[in-house]
Amino acid sequence: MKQNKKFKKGSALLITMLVAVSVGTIAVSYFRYSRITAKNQIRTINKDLIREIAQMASDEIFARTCKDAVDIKSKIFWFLKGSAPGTVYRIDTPFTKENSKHFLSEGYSCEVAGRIRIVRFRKTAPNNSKYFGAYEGHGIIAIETKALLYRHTGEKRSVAFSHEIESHFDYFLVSTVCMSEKGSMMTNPLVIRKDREAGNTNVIKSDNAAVLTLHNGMNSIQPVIPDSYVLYDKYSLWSKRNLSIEDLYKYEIIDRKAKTINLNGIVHCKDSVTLEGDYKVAGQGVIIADSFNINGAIEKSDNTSLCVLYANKGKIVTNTEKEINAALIASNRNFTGTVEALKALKINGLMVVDTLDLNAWAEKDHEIYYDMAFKDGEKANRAVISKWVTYRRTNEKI
Amino acid sequence: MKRFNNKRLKSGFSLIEALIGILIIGVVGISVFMLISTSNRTNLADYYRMTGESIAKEAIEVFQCLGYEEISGRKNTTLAGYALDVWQPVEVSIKDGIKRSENSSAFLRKIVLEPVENDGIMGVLVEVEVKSKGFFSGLGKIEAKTMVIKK
Repeated sequence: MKQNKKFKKGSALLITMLVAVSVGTIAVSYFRYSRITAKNQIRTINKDLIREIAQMASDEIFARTCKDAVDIKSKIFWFLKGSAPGTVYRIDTPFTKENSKHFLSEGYSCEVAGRIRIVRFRKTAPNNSKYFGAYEGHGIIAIETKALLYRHTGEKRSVAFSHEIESHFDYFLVSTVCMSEKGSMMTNPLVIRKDREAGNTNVIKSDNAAVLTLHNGMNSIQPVIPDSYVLYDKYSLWSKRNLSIEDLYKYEIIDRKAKTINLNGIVHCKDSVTLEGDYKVAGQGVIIADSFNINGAIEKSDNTSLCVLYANKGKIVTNTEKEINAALIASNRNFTGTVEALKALKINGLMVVDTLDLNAWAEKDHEIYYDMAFKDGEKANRAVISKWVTYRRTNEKI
Repeated sequence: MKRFNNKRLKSGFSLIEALIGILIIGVVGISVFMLISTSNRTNLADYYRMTGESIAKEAIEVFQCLGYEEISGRKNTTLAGYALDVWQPVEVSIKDGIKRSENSSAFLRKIVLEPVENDGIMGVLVEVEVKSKGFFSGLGKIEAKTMVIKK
């Protein structure tokens, strides 16, 4: 009984103190938990931030690669053209360095490094047929980006986060002058694939008064393209297929406002293409369409520009006296492809037709000046990079 | 004297003990109440912050998807249903194909586009700000940014 009484003495105070200590511990734990939560919130913000910066750098490298790949004077073009799988090319990211300030908060800085790597390259089509051009083929490039976020405390800096992105893209290397094992197939000003009755002469006359004169040609109309050969038949090297005429306008391959034809590689349009007014050609490439109507001049924007207009179903009708700086090809499996000139035709390029029906041409003097640019197959290679990511890997480190 | 003997005095609580006990319990009680209250407010703030962030990121994703050409070629102050440069109430409706949470209508969103160019690379900086309509002052502004680069 005495012990019980002793136990009761001051027990309320002890219990309340015990409860207070417990609750105090919980409060301190909660305070620490709140601080950790707040820290985590900042970490999450920083994590998103460095991810955005890495993504921006990756996009910049892709944009820069696409932009430079169409320029045959750029280092990236030559890197894509001649490099073996595994080869790496470092790319600066000045755009990201300049604009990362919009994302960074005070006390933080970042560093970005990027490069492109050839993952693989094949010189055979998916059906195992061989591409004829020495450089032609398709492959995969990887764009690798690493972004580091630094936290500054006093004069010290430490890595708060790092984010790596590796994105893979398909790419093609294609010759725009239709290569064979011997080189460019476009070595003559005029190639008539079926109707070869015109003979070996540089001046071709028709029953009416239409006269076609060939300049700068080698042996004029000796056939250089075998009947069995289908021009630009390597579908695996076409960068875009089955586009409508509206798509050509949408992708600005034919820019009706700027009056330019922007070419890079081979594109296929399932419609008929009409060029109203004078156009300038930028880049090198081929437009394959059902048929063409050319109602104005086609000029080159610079010496490297190269334009091939290939009607693979119908004919090419020209209704202009202005100079056409392009290769006009009208050829199909039924050998009905032809060119019709409704006015005096002047081409600085070449012409390939199945049948040359000068009787349908205007009774004028027509001229074809051979453009030597079509002979040099090496200079007519183009690198085309797909916009679609085929594989992506990201790696984050804290 | 029998009623106030020592044994009886020793067996109960003194007034001071009781007062100190009540005081401690009071302090602890208030602390617990504040703890729960703060916890609830933090949870609520986190929930609304998460909703606000998803509203901000939604616009970022849409603008990334639209691409540079679509954004730079806009002809008015609205793009894909998003008003630009003004605070716009967020709708819960799914008429634009995006399903948002029920509480989205409690937010306002502002989207600002800034064209940037460096070394031949063109881009548009998309800045999205989200704030509550005023019911929850502790939330502040939620920001999200992205760069849409011409590819």
